[in-house]
Amino acid sequence: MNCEQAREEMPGLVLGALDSDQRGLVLEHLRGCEACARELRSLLPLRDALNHPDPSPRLPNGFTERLVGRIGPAGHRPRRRASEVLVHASRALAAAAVLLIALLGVGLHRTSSELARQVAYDARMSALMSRSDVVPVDMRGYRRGARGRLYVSPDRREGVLMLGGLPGLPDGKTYQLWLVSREGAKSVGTFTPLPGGSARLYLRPPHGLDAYERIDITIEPDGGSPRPTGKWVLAGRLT
Amino acid sequence: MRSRINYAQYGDEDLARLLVLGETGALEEISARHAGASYGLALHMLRDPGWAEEVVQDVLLRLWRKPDMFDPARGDLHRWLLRITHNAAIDALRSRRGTSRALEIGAYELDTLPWDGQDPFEGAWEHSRAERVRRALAELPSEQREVVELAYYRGMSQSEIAALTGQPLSTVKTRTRLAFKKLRSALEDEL
Repeated sequence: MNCEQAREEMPGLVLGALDSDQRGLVLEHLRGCEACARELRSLLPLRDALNHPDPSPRLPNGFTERLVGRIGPAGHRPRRRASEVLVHASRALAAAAVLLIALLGVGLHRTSSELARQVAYDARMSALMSRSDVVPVDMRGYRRGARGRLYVSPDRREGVLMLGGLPGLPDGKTYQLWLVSREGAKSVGTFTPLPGGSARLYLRPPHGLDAYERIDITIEPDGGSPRPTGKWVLAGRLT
Repeated sequence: MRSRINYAQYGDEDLARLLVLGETGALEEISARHAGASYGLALHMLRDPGWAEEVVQDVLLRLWRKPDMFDPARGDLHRWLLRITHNAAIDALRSRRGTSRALEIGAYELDTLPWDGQDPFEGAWEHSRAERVRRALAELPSEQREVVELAYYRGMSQSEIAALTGQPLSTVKTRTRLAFKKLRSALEDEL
């Protein structure tokens, strides 16, 4: 098929109306012809326009409630059992180190150069991680290789966040941790991972972790931001 | 006591990311923003309110279960949902007609072609553009409008349209080309 033949078939292709053999020929030509592929792309806004046949569409009453009703409990992702978690946690603990470089905002544990305080944090983390009923919350990574898991105490008052795969950032940038509720995102603090990309953070918000719906990590300017402005690196649900 | 996040503060791209976390509030916000247009398209194609609602809900549930289906690098969520809705409605029509040809090839494969990252619309949908194309479609000669509507909104192939209308396949193709030329010029006049 040459360019002229391919372009004659493009309206039918955009409408999805070509028979399969003809469609295959056109697509084969398009994959090898950037000029015709560009011509086809120029037609796509027309397809998008055809997707608005009704000037003022209205949803039926109760649509969204019925939609959410169809999700049901199956919509929630299963959590790992604590026994599985502890194996992973102990490996992670051996590899990670605490890094809390600066803290902002909500009065959680503040960075300290005091060794005694650091040791106390470590002790609390170790105590929490040694419990069999700790609840893990996996975080979703938005950057290749980034991973995180928050281990929450059964009373949901405290947690240990284990992070890995965080690349070093250029000068002027830092990682920032947020707890998110309806009122918005509250900064927990900024931190710098170890050279290997791991970090371990201890959280004990004044009103417990149940006061929040989500935990996020973003990349922000050095010193942190009052609200998230940069790209997400990791996020996890606290519900 | 936990308070709910205000999802209206997020853009579409962030809402799609939150679906990955299983946040139903993000799905509700997406539904509030975009499901109306999808429903309008499905209703236009299926002509049955209950069926149209089912199709649109199925589309949103597919997004809920597999949020990675949506790639923001390839276009905005609104248009993506409409394209998926169109495909789903075509599938529903063909299923009812008993035809088995997979219609999604038409739209899906367009999206897998080489992409230079340039979006001809460059941003949010503009109502006036759709209105202009609707008007141009209404003003087409009836035989040209018919081939567009039978193909795009009823899911018929050009061969099926030829059989239905009793016209040669070449005539159907010519009418389609002429219709597209006019619709495209309506869009370009406005650009």
